[in-house]
Amino acid sequence: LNCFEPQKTSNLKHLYPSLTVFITFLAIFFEMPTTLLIADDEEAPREQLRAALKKHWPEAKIVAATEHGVDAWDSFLEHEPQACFLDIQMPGLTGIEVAQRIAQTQLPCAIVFCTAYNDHAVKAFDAGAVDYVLKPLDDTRFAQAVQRVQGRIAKPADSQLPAEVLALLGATKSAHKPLRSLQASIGKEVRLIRVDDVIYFESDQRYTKVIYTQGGADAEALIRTPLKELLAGLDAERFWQVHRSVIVNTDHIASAVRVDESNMHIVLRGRGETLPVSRAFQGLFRGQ
Amino acid sequence: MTQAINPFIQPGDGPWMRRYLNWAAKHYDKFPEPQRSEAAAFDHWLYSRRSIPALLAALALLGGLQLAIMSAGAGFWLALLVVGLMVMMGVLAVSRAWLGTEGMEYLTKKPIKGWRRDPMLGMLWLAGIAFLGSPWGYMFGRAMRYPDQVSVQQLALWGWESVRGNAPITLALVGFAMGVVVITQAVRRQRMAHELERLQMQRERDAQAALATKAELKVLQAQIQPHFVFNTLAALQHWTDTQDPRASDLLRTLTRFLRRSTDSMAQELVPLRDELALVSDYLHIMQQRIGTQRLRFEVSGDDATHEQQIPPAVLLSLVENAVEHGISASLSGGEVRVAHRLTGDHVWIEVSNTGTDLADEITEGVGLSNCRARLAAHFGASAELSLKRLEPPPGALATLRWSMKVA
Repeated sequence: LNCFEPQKTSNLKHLYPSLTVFITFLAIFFEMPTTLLIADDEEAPREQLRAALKKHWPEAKIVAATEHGVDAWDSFLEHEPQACFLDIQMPGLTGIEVAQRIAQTQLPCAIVFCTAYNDHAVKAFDAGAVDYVLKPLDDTRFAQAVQRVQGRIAKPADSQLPAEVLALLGATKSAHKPLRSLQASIGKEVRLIRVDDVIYFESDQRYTKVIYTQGGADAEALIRTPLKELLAGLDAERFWQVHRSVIVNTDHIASAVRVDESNMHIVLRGRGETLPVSRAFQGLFRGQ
Repeated sequence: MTQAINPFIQPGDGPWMRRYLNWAAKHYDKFPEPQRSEAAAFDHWLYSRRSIPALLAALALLGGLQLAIMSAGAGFWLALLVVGLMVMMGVLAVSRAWLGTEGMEYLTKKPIKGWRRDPMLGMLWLAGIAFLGSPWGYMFGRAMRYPDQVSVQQLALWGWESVRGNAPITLALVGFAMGVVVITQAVRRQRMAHELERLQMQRERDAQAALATKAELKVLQAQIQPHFVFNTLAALQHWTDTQDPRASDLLRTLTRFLRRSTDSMAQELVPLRDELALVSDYLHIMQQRIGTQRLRFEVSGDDATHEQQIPPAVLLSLVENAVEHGISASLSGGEVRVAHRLTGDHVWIEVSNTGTDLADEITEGVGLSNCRARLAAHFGASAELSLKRLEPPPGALATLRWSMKVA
């Protein structure tokens, strides 16, 4: 992880937003495919969404079709798609929670919610810039939603969800059971690790590496639960995801250091190693 | 003869009564409401055969009074005068008490102020004036008759004679009037209390009816959730678009489910067999939608329970909860089990899911409390509905139990 050599900082910082716009225009000009993510926990509506997109937006590329919120969020970090079509009721993270996480990143992404029933949450979408479509999909309405998304991608500044709309949607948040402890098998022993003692989690292929303190000393363990699934059970205020494969306890962050325009890392309290902060999460460290 | 609709005329009134009421209507209208209808009701009573016993009784009372006064030594005409005065006083007192202060104000269009607002004090005032006035009249009369005897002492003597002679009659009249006022007021108060009670009961009945309608609506909503229907339609739409063979099976099950729910909705109780069939259809639809990997289910138990009656959609609500909060919320899915059996006098039904654990603080939604209320309404205190963690975890177990003796 110690792969970040301090580099000379350049003066391109202020050009960064314009660069994003420029790249987006380039993409449109050269007809680089727009990347899309779709998420629905049921197979039929997911496939219907895929078919509808193929029909109404043939030049776009579906980079991920996920079956639940946890996967959707992880795939978002992996592919950084330009638009997401999210079902609302999904296990792990609801579509709204995924959208909230996306909104907290600095990545521009247009979001369309797909829901079966015109309930109170839908009223909130009407108020904001967010779009929604009802299932079963209606061709005309879906084409309209696609047009709106295309318009928003052309103007990346507008593509983020307004914070107040997300706050309105907070009411539909699903109640996750907060995780209190983790179980790690070490030989024949099953060790219980209090979540409060964890310094950070790091994804390690099929396992998750847990670095934690125990009686003043630091220890390490491997658990079977994938990092993305742990996320739903962790207190988002306390545990920050700073990278697709790293979740860190904010109590142990000493500082964040910008390396260059696109790289940043954090230094942990009383520990030698640094952890990478990916582009999506650099907004967490704005300085006040 | 065209006549404006007279609200005081009742069906069955004869031609004379009608003519009288047409004349009296404009006078009734001078009174405020309850007195207005009371006056009409009184007239209806007075001018019918029903009043004959009361009139005879009144006649007997007055005759008795006349004879009593005569036997005390008064002459016929004097006794008649006293009786007449008593009747007048009675009528005045009854009218005053019947109208009440507000009624008087309404009738005279003038505000009544101060102590006059109290009919009792008014009565005392009238009696006091009469009592104080009478010795002067007596003195004057005597002085006219025996002008030669007039002196200060003699006038005082006549005055005292009048006071002493009048006092019992005055007291009797005042007592009688006050009695009438008290009785009238008491009767009025009692009637108002009755009326109030009737209105209260009416309101309660209305509220209960509204509550029942609301509960029925909730049953309707509980049984056919729009989320469920539209999500199922979304799957159907896709499978018909792609000519997937799953479409026809799903459509058949959905149709059967909807027909069964609308049928049982209209009933207060349904056989458990029907409810179990409904639950199986629901689970089948959900399984087709979310896949056999995510949802496995089993409905099993004693055939003996099939004939037991249960309020519709109670069991379905429990199963919907198990699927929505247990299975759909879990990343890996799980199994839903519905088990029913008879033990002694009790019917037991268990709904378990192996999806997600219950949250630490079990928050009972409207669905569960609604189920509980409907079970209690049919099976009384013998009905129990509990929700707890499934052992071994993860999962939740809802247990439903009621006594057949009550049912």
